[in-house]
Amino acid sequence: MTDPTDGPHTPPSAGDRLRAALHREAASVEPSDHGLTRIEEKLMTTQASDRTRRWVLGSVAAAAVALVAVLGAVVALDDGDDTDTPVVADSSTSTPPDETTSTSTSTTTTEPEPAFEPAVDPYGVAYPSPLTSQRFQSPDSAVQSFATEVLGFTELTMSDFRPGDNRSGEIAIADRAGNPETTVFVRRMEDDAWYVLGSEATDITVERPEAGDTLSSPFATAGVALAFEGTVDVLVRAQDDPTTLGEGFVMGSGTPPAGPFEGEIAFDPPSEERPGIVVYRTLSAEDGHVLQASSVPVRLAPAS
Amino acid sequence: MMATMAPSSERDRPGVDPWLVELYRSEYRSLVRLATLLVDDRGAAEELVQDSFVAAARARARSELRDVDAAPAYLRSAVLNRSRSLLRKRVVRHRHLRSVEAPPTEPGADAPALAGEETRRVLAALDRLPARQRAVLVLRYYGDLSEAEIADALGIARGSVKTHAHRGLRALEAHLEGT
Repeated sequence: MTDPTDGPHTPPSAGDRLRAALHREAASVEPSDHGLTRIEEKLMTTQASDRTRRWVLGSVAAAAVALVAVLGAVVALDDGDDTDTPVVADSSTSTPPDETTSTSTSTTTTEPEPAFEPAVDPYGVAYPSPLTSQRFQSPDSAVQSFATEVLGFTELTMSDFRPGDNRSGEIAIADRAGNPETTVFVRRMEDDAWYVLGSEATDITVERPEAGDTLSSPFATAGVALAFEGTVDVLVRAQDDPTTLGEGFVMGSGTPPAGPFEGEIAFDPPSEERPGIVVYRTLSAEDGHVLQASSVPVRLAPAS
Repeated sequence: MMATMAPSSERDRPGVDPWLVELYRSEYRSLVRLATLLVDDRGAAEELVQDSFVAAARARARSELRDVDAAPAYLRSAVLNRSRSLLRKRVVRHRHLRSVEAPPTEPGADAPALAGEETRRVLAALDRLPARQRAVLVLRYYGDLSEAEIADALGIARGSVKTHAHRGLRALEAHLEGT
């Protein structure tokens, strides 16, 4: 409050003005009458939807496995007939999105990529790499593949797609029902395929590096995290290659609230600048499965 | 921070965990107000406060929140984390999408019609600060939290609280002088 020794004409300090403005503003905020009802509904639907999603994902996974087996047989029969045809997934294919996810994932890393100009800037997205043939026709399939291939989730549960604008949105995911959420940001890019832009976990806030930063090895990282024994695993990988280029860990807080972390992470620098991604993961104390994962798309600088 | 009563229609609800009802009655309104000041959107503020209550209820069900007295602090931390996450998502979304959608730089649509010009000016200046400076100033000047309490709530060192408060206030002054 204003110092009582101030004269009557002393203008109020910025702090006093701020205090007064905040209290006036807060007093004008009246919560809706249905807050408790909404909390009850959310509690009930959280449990119900977790069960449903696990069942649906199990079914989708089984269907995808069956489809891969069928396609594998078809490819084997056709082997030798299409040697002049570049193996590039066609974004206009009529294959259902989730099936595209599985087939693209299984073929992209084994086929040499033909030289072509990507329609999408590789540095503008996190996953999949526009330099590969992997494409996704739905946000769900992009997020599902990203969560399993990049973040390392094994028992994935997903929320419905939450649209942001007419070409982007987000999906909340968790590895096993009841675990904290990780929000994955997605966007339909110029080629009309869906790409992941990055992810943020409830308990891992990465403040440095920021998306698009150019990283040289080693690079400094900082943020705030809550994790078992405070440990946050950090992985560095190129966008178009699942090989881990570097890894380390940083220490946040082991008990609530989340605590700050700082550290340096080294990685094997590429021969020339290439898009990459840094993944921050917390692991379960019970069996080591991934609990949450924040990820930041970056530029990996070559060795100087 | 002063706790206030929940809306009267929510006070007596048979069949609901009395612990949750009591917590709601004592904390909900003040948390919605705090979150609104942080994220500048009452609808989003209510959503994230409700989600924080859900998290608290689930933590209690898993026996991770046994101490009833710890619940308000747990809720406050949850609300602060979610507020910070929401603000960061706005920035991240804007940065990634290169869209025309800009992070809010003016009071949102929920700015009260009756708020005076002074309130609008000060809040507009506050909106221009980085999220952490803004959070520190809101907790200090609205929540009346001590440096230690702010440090606990935000998960940062007390020295960082001092730094953010000092820089935030100086920046606020500069913005106010420039308007």
